[in-house]
Amino acid sequence: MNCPDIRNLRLSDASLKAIERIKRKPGLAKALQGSMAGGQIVNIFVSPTPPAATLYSIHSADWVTFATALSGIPAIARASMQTEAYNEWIESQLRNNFAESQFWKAVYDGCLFR
Amino acid sequence: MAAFSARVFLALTLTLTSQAAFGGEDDLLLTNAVATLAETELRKAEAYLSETIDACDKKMLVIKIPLSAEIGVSRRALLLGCDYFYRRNRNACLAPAMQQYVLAKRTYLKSIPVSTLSEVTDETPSSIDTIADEWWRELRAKARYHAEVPEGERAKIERIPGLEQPFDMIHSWAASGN
Repeated sequence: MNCPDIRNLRLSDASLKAIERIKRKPGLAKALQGSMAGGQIVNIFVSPTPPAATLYSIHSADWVTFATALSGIPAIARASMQTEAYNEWIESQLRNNFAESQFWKAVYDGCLFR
Repeated sequence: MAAFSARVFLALTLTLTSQAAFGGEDDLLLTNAVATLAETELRKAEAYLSETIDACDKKMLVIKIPLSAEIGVSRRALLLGCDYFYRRNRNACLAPAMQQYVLAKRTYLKSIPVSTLSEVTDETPSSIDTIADEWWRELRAKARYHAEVPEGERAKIERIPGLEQPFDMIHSWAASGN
C-alpha cells in the first residue's frame, strides 16, 4: 500500500463535478458511510452538500479506510467509480496538474496496488 | 317486448363487462410474468458483467512504458496514445458483458408497468448512460490521438510492447517516470 499524504489540494471545477457524479452512484455513499469513521475523504464523497472549491489535506490513513470501503462495493458500482477517477486522472495528467492526478490515482484504487 | 329487450341488453352488458374484466386480469398476469422473466435476465446479465469486470481487472498488466524522450515523442503525445489504447482494450474486454447488460436493462425497462417506471429510472446517472459514455470516451480518445499526434509519432508509440492487450494505465504510467 502506497498512500499519499496530499496537502493543500485545490480541486478544479471538473474534479468537483466528477465528485458530484460519483456521489450519485447507487450504493456508493452507503458503502462509504458504513465503513469510514471520518476524515476529509468522507467530507468529499459522502457529505450531502457539494464539495467546496477549497484546499484539502488528505492524510494517508484516510486512503486506507477508503480502500477498505472500496473493497466492499459491488463490482459494477466500483468499476463505475474507478472509471470516473480514471477520466479525471488522465485529464489532470494532460493539464500537468500532478497534485490532482495524485488525488484521482488514490481514488481509483485507494492506493491498493494489484 | 320492451322488457325482453331490457333483459337482453342487461345480459349483453354483463357478458361484455365480465369479459373485459377477465381480459384485463389476463393482461396483468402476462405483464407481471414478462416483468419477472426480464428481471431474472437482468440479474443474470448483472452477474455476468460483475464477473467480467473482475476478470478484465485481473488481465490488466503493468506494462513498461518508456520515457517519452527515449522514443522521441512528446509527453502529451505518449499520454494520448496510451490513453486511447487503454480505453480500447478495456472496452473490448468488457464489450460482450456490457452489450448483454444494456440489452437486458432495456428489455427490463420495457417490460415493467408504466406506473412503476419512474421508480426504476430515477437511478442517476443510469447504468446504460454510463456504458454509452465509456464507448463515447474511447472514440473521443481515438479522435484526439489522431488529431494531435502526427503519424510518425503514432508509429513510435504503437511499437511499445503491451499496448495491444488490457493494461493498467495508471500504474504503468506511474512506474514509467514520465
